[in-house]
Amino acid sequence: MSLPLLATKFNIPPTNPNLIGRERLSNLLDEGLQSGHLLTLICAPTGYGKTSMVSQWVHARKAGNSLETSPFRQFIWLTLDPGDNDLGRFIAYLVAAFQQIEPDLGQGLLAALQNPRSTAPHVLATLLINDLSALFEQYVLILDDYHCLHAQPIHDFMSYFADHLPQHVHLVISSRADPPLPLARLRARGQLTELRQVDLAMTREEIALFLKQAMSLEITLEQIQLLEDRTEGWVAGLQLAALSMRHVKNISAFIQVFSGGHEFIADYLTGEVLEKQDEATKKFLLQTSILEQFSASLCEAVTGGAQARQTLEQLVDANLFLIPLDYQGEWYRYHALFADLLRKRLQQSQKESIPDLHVRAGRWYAQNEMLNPAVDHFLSGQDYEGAANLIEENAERVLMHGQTATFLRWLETFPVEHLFTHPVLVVYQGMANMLLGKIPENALSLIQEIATSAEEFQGEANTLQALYAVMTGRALEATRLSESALQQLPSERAFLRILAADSLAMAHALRGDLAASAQAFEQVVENAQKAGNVIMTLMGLSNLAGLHYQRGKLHQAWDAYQQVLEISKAKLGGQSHALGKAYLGLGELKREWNDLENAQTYLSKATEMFRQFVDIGIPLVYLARVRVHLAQGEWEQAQAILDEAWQYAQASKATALDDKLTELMQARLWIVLGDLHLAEQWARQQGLMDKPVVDLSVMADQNAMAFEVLQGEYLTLVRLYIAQGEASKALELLPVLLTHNEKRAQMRRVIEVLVLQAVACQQTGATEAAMQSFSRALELAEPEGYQRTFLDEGQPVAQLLYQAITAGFSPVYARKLLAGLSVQELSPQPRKKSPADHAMVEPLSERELDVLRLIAEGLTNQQIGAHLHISLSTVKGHTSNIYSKLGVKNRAQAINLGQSLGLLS
Amino acid sequence: MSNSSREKSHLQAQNYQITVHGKVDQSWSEWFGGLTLTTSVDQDGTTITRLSGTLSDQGALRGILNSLWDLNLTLLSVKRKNQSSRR
Repeated sequence: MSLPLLATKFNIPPTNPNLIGRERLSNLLDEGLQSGHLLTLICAPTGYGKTSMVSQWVHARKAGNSLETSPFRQFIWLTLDPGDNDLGRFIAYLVAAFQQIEPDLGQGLLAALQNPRSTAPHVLATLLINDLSALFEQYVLILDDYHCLHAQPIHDFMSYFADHLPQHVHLVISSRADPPLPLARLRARGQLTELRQVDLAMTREEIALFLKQAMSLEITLEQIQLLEDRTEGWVAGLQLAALSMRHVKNISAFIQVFSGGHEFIADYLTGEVLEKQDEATKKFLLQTSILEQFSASLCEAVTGGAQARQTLEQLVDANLFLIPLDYQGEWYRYHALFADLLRKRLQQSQKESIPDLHVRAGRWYAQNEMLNPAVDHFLSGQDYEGAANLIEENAERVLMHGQTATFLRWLETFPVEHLFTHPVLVVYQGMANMLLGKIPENALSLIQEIATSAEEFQGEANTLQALYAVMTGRALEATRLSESALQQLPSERAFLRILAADSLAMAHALRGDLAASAQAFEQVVENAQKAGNVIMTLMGLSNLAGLHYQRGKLHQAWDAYQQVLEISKAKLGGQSHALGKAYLGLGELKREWNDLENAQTYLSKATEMFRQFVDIGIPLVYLARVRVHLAQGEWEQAQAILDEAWQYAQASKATALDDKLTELMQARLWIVLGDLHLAEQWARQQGLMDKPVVDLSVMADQNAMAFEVLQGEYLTLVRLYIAQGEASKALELLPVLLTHNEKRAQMRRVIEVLVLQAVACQQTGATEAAMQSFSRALELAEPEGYQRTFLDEGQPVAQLLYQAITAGFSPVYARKLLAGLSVQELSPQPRKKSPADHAMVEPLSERELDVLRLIAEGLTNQQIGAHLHISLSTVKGHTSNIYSKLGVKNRAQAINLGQSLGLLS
Repeated sequence: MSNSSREKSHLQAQNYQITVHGKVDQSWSEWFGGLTLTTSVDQDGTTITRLSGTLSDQGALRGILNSLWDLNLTLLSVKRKNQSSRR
């Protein structure tokens, strides 16, 4: 399921033998590199030889690489075109360009594009920067024709990239206008080399050399001066003039004729040049001018003539602004200026034939399976039917590669009447808008109109409506709409059926019907597998696994996550968003089964994977790690990791859920550590103590997600009451929670609530009721091997386990749990270490001492990183080590203890 | 470039004053070729921002106009100030 890329975009253009060497400019480029500048900007209008001079330089330096005169450099070239105004596509090409030299680079970045939610440009840029930082050689990245880019997300990406470029990567940008990058800042920092119009203009010496050497013209000094005056050193103008002058008797008189602006000169001279060609060549030039690039075969398809290869070779020999794009003599393009003028003339002379030329080009590209140019030409030729069919065939691939902008651009140019026979395109248009977080108003009203006029398209309409209902959280409508869609959609609408099944599964989950949701996700997985859609298969599987987990089916969850692992490895080279979720899920399962070491391993893999995606993934993984540390009795480490989770949660603005869950974990940690007043303060701030329990019932029926968060808060409150010895208050809450969890078959929560109920009853002396709840918990938990849900509640559970064994309730399982309890620290020792007798277990390293001193100076983590030239995550690693070695929770305590231990003197 | 034929205006650094509708903060300066940004209220009470300073050539000017366009700012005027010293 990959999209083909045009290889010619990565080629360093072959050197043009009809141009002179421009050592002067190559030296300026060298100077920029040697003085450690990060960016070289080559900015001049068209026809100043930007591309030629850079490619000339690259070829010369590549050859010089072997001479070991300067450090070895890798050159990476990317020619941009207007079709690149889609961040997804731009990145695909950028990574592919790097992969010409570093085949493994950018895997994570490409995987991030397959995340159905769009990832922030600066996060994507960070992924690339990280990958580049790991490389050792010197790189020069050349982005040619940068003025073609105008999409804001790309500008955001590139600004961040240019601002954080690693020292060993040098960026060369050629553009007709200054690119929207913070150039003034780079200039002020002395990191910018500029080659502008005035530098690129040919000097008199160069003009003389060019006319003599490249064009074999004998010309006087006076004439050269006149030419320089008239053309202002404009390379294309000089080339055009030289071409004409070959046939001119009186050169001085010829030069006198042209004056005025560049465009006028070019227009005049192109006319001169064209008139010199025979009719067949003239026609060939005009007809092929509609092509961005061309091969002989493509030219034949467009012109309908034969022997295009010979014609192309003749044009190269005649130096007619034909630029070879590869070394096999297969692909060419016209010089931009020449192409513009040819198109203008085509427009004037054979306007009515233009659409047909485009359609022929479109057909050739379609036959050769090059989707993007095929669609573009069909659209230019107004063959909407051809374009629609092609888009329909390929939409799934395009959307699944994050190229939503390209897709939307295509559809914008479609006249509405053509969409009536292609309603699927409207569905995709709406979906693409939703992927970008927009309300698909136009698509929604259009699809409704289509379905009203043609009954058979009701399924398409319902699919889009269902997607939108899920987006806006209308669970009941989403259920109804997606169910109808699944009935109405014919089997050949495979991708739409997957989308409809996915909406249905989400809708069931929103309503809290977990069993139905699981069933629907199974459908998604099955359909996606049949259709060969790897990403939807993985998303379906990881959602399914999550549901199994909630429903208490731990082993089924394990199997589904394992499948995600296998498929990701086999099909995606081990990189996918779903894989992060799978590692997190496997870690959580291992923790529940009290295999803490393996839990840690999975969780660190999850962290690694999630670093590549902007998501609430990272804080969730950190919270899971906090739980593992709690299980290991490592209280300080738990707090340190929780502090990091805070930072991640606050940094991600996409959702408040991670902030909420982090808060909950902090309250839970306070309770475990015995800081009950802090936990109580939190509960009061949340208003939990005054909220009538009835609210919970109302909430449970309305919004499954909100209920889950509120339930988390109440369970924490329950633990607080128990810790405060006020179990009777806990017992007012627990039965309500139990009912709702049972109703929704949330068996994991059911077991948790039963255990807490048993502990609370025990505290109030209701021994019999306690054992009733506890024996039920054991019975439900045994087949799935739950451990931590019991062990985490500590000492009171030990008593309950003894009683269960004596009473003969699941005695084998209870013994096993008891064994688990006896090896762990049951509750933390109150930490009342006074600084004086505090002996550090492990001394701080030199680096950690540095960091501690900077902390004491009041620097933020960012400032510390900048000061010590280390990354933010390294700083965090150091602080977390410092905290755990000193056994402190925060900066203030670290400073205090550091002072009393004499570390800060 | 010593010879006199290069004294064409568009090949030289020039002083420009660009006026747009609305307020644009000085912090944007580095995105606008280092021009100085000043916001004021003109006679009819509309807020305008002037971007003034030296730009190397037409490519630099065009880049700035592109950025203004991308930011959806309404362009009111572009003036070249005739004070650049002729060599």
